[in-house]
Amino acid sequence: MVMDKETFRLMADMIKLEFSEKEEKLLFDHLNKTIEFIDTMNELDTDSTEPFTFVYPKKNTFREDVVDDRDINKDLISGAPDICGGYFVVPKSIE
Amino acid sequence: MQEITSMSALQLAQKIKSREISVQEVVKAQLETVYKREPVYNSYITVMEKEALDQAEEVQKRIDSGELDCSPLAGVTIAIKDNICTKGTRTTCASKILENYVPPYDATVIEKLKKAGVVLIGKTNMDEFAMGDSTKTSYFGASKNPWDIKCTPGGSSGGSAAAVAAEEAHVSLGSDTGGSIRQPASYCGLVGIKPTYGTVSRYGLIAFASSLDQIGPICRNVPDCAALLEAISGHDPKDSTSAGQKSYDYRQALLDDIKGMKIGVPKVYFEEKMQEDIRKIFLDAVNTFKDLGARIELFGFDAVKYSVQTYHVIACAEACSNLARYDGVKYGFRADNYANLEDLYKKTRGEGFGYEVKRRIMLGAFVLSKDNFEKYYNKARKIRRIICEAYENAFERYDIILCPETLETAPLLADIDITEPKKSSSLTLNSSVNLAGLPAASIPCGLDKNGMPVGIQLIGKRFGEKDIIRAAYSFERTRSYERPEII
Repeated sequence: MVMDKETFRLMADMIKLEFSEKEEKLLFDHLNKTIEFIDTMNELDTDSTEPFTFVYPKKNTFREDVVDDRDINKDLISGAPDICGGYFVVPKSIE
Repeated sequence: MQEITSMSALQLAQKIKSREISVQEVVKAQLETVYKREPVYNSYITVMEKEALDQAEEVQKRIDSGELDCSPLAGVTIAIKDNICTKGTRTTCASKILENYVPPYDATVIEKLKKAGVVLIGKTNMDEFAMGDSTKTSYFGASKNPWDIKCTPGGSSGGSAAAVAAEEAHVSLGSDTGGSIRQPASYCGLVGIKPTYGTVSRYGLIAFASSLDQIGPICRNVPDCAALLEAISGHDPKDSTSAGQKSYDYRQALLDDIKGMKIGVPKVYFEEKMQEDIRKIFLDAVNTFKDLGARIELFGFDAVKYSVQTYHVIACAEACSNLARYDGVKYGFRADNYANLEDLYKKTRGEGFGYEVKRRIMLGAFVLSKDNFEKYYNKARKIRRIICEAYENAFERYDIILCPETLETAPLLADIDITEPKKSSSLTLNSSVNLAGLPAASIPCGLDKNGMPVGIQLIGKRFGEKDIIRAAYSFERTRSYERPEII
């Protein structure tokens, strides 16, 4: 086993995921089998290879920093589950 | 006259231009077929009836005014994978978390299609967030393969392939992260092209793994595919990974001539456990290329041996980061009961994502964690470089590379268990192409003993779409188009 239960739960907590009991058991076994499979790539010697960065040589892409005054705030926020006065509503987060 | 819905897209567009058929007639006939067949195939998540009828009227006016004279696909219908944003029409990614998400903007490919007068008929089913190879991870249930409804149409662009094979659309768009256009095209007896990374804008494509994802066409023949690819390609300032090319005239490559073309066939794939009749049909196809005048050579290609492992690491790491945005606050689903903000995030993501998506997010978090970063993530990046270099070396000797598209034909839906770890057959032959950012096409090359389609994969050098289109077109002309017996 590569990943123990404690690491599994710590990671789930960090990436904000919740599982049912049945799902957790399935996923825990499934993940460990997948990691064992992935581990086989460590058979290959890559000591003299640099990590990959991008599929072809490319300069970083920049664009003009121009203010776009299209009135789309309403459209963008309209898909939120809970809004009030143009703001997203979330549970109280500061005591 | 041949039925409107079974005509090739280019042939139909010609008839529309010569006023033999109107765009409204086309759209009405297509919608009728969709409503008749959807209860069987489940190709669509959303049918855009009103939008399609409105667009038909507008496109007809533009055709009448001569505005679309140079647009080869004006008036034909297209199905769009449901991870491509369509303004005003919900875009779900086949996930509960985006079940009611209506984008306030069009993806660049949608803008281009509308400009070209192609009529959007609906949004197609897929694996949730494009994670899967059967559509079984879709929140909306699996699609059925028109060749045998007990089988999967493949995935993740399974709905896009099923829609075109069942004649529920003339052409469609899919997206390909590790074979998600090519494998369903193969399972459904169609032509699918995954373009070179950067050829088609990803602006408005809901991200799964940003360094691997590309949008591409799925059609019933090579000329339709070339025309559709032409319509959606081009540099886009809104996508910083978009690459500008001098020419996107892919129809120029529709030449029935591959004399002297150098084709490499990797030996390594023959060592894989492959369905016996696929091996035989593939070797027959290789002989066809030889008969057409191509020079075939077998070559060693061991660098791709670890491509599936590498793909898992890179794709899941990127997915983990990309899917962090679904928090139940800005858009999409929010859980009903929660105690505080932390609980809102966890319950929303726990209830909103399906099993496969959660598995990949967890795997991504694991390979990116401090203790594992070097061993898994950086290791995968190094192997990715080795794979890229191996392809570069191969393309110094060959114009295209040929291999089977899948190791088996479409499996039975009942035999697919998404909770069971297995080495995906489609990833074995497809994922290295995405890791290297290369173009590749899947084209039909025969039927197995059960009458299910078999595909062959043509891989090109970077921006070598024209080479694979020329080879695919020449090969296609040696075979007659086989269509399923549609219900």
